[in-house]
Formats: sequence, structure tokens, C-alpha cells
Amino acid sequence: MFALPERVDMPVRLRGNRCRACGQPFFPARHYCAACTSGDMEDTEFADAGKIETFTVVRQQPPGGAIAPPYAIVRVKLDNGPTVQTVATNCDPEKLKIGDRVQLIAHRVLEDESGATVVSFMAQPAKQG
Amino acid sequence: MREVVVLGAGLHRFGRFPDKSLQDLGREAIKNALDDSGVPFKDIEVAYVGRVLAGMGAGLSVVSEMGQTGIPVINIEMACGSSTSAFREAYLSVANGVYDTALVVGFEKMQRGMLQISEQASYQTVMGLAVMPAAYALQAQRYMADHEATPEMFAQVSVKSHRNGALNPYAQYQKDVTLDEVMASRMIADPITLLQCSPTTDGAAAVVICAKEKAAQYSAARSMTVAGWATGSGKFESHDDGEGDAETNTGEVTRLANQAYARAGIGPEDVDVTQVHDAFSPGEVFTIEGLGLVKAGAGARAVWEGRTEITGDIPVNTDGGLLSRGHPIGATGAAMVTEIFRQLTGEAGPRQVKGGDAKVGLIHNAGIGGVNILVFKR
Repeated sequence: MFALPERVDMPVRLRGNRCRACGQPFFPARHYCAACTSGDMEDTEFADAGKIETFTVVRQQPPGGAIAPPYAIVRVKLDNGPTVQTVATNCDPEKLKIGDRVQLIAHRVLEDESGATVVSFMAQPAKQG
Repeated sequence: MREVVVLGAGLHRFGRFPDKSLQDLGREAIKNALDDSGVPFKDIEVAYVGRVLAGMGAGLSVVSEMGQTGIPVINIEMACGSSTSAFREAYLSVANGVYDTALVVGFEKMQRGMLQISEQASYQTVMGLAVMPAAYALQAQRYMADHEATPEMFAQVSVKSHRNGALNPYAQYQKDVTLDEVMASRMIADPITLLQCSPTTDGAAAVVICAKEKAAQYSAARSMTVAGWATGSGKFESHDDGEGDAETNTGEVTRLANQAYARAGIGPEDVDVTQVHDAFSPGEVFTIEGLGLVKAGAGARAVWEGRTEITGDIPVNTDGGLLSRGHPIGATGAAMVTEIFRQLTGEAGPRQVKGGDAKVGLIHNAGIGGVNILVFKR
């Protein structure tokens, strides 16, 4: 999904691919292009930052979910990359706005049965300037 | 292709029936549809069954309750759109002359609580991203930013649907709710509150169809004609996140509605009564725009101004819709056909639109995996 950084809360660049025939980017990577059906795909890493297209605040825990509500789901258009959906972290979900810049980071999701920390990518507000 | 008519339809009431089996629910709906049509079960040549959560062979175990006549019983699954998929396949087999009569059945028994979309433990599930109301909420938030719309306008969909459900003896909820009650109910995913989420439901619905040239031998004195259809599985659009969100993608609804209108030889301005897939209240707003019943961006205001009420110019979900009639996922599509049948035959009683003079009915039924559109004429 991404190269594990030295520690959590550091920026991460998502690994996906791009169709050589039509240019469409995908995350996660696909074997065949969803837009034009070409199988000529090129692995790539996407920008670690983008803009919030839309968001919502989830206030009831869904089945199988490990994150306690309330938490925000953000749909982020990565710079020159695909749109991805993830959880917003290190912020007050009530203060998010459409159009806000965000940074993708590695963040703890849970600890599994063996005590290992499971991390995934999340979005946090981009630093000003 | 031959002309095909709906001769009858029937439901088992939608609600929670822990003491009843799928067979109990299905048998009652099928009996009601057969009685309504005048077609005896021994004349049914094929059954198409929409169902999702029941186990292997569930379609046959329900349909054979009516008799073991040896007919093919075909199980179909397309999540919440399963029984309009079953209807389409039944229609095509009769239209193409393979069979003269067909039975469409949908049924479901559901657990309480939020629907789990996938049993596979994906990162989306663990991170709490695979949330059905959130898919609608994300689009609703964007809609409010792009258009002059408020959370109250989405909530009004639920007020209207419950008002219609209160007039429907087969609805799960037959009770009015006020705008204040909808807005004050627990927030699930902003701006969607609990009373803007369709419930989980037990229920069954059935429809009998027949080649028009063979229909005169049956006692049903009225019918409606299948005039158009379209179906698709979520065409990729470049703004997609790659997760194929066909259920809330209004571009996909427009693409398919235009196919169905062309087959029926009509335009959206000819539609008298509509059923849309309002699994969550913003669904009605997005879908009436996608279907071309109102201009893009005008859906929320159309709801707010009462245009989608039974008395409005574009009545939608006259039976209470998914929000109030209930949403037993495999049965929902066949229940939509049932309500359009009541409306176009002038048998909708207190829910009747256009003084009994409705001529064209439209159905939009969506499920994970696709969208079905159906057009009917009196």
C-alpha cells in the first residue's frame, strides 16, 4: 500500500499504478484499467498531499470497524493522482471544510492479537504555508 | 420482441416478523400476486427470485411451497436491486417468446443494525470506511457546498416518505414524523440522521407477468405494459475513487435512464409517478436529478417545495419508499413494481396520484453492483 516510514505520523506516498494507454491513475493498483480496459499498467507512487473533495463525520461504529466514533471520512483528490477515501486524524472533525489541504501520514489503527501495531494511511490537515 | 404485461402483484407486509420463515413470507406474497392476476400457479412457466442473505437454493424452497410443478426457479442476486434484476430477466424471457407466463419473487429476512457490506476483512472495513450511510453523506455534503441546499431539505424526504407510508397498510412504519423529529434523531453520518436511514426489514413481494397476446384468458381486467428498461453495473468515471460507487452515481443513473426512455419512446416529462431507491434520504434528491425529472442542482428545493409529494407534479415513493415502507433488500424492487401497478391501475386508494389518471410509471432500484431502471405504461 505504501513504504512503511521510520515511525508513525510521518508522511507516506501511496503506491498504485497508472494506465499507460489513457493515463488514469488507480489506488489500489489494478491489473486492467477500469476506464479503457488496457492491461498496460505502470507502477507509481502518488503525491502525499491533496485537497478534501468532501467529508462526513461518522457517529455510529460500523460492523467490523476498529476506530471509535466520532471520526471523519474524507474523500481526498491527491495532487496529480487519484481520489482516495480515508479517515482524518490529528484534527477536530467538526472543523474540517471542503477544499482544505491535507497531508497523508502513516497512523496507528489498532493493535492485533499478538500486540503488533497495525498502521494505515490517514489524512491530517496540511501545515499552513 | 412481444409486448409483455403485468397482470398482478402482491406483498407480505414489510416489518419485523421473527416468528415467520422465508416460506411464510414468500407464500403470502405469491398467493396475493396470483390472486390479483387471476393466473393459477399451475400456469406459471418460470420463476425468477431476487434474494440476497438467504442460503443456497432459497428461491426454490419458497416457490415450491405453491406446488412442485417442476418449473425452472432462478435465483438472482444484485444486492438491493435483486428483484428488479429478477423482473428484467423474467420480462426478457417472456418478451422473447421463451415463456408465456412468469412469476417474479423477492424476499428477505434481516438482522437489526447497520448492514455489513462485505464479509472480507478489508482495510476499508477495519478503518470504518465501508459505511453505507457515509457513501450518501459524502455526496450530500458536497451537494450542499455546490448548491443552495440545507440538511432540512434532505430531512424533508423522510417526512414526506413517512406521510405516504402512513397511508400504506403494507408499510413497515405507518406513522407520520415531523421535520423536528427527523432533525433531532441521532446523527449517523453528517448530515444523515437515524430517521433518514432505511430500516432493516423482513418482507416479500411478488409480480405475475404474461405475454399480452396470452393475457385475455385470465380474469384480471386490468394490466400495465412493460415499456422500457435499462441496467448497468457502474460505468467508470474519472472522478471515481476506483471503488465503483454505482449506487450514488447520478451520471450512471442518467446514462441508464436515457436508455430506458429511448426504449419506451418517452422523455422524463412524460412520467406521472416514480419509485426511487432512497436507502438514505439524499438518494431521492440525487436520483430525481439523475432521472431528469428536475434539473441538476434543483432536487433538494423540489423536495422542499413539495413537488415529490403524492399531490405534487412529480410524485415519488408514494408507498413510503425504502425509508418508511421498509427495505428487505431482495424484496424491495418487486415492491416498487407493485406500487407502480397500483398507481397505473388506479387502485392506490388514498395514495393515488393524478386523480387515477397516471399513465407512465418509472422505477429506479440500485444495489451494490448496479442500477436497474424500468418504465411502465397503463
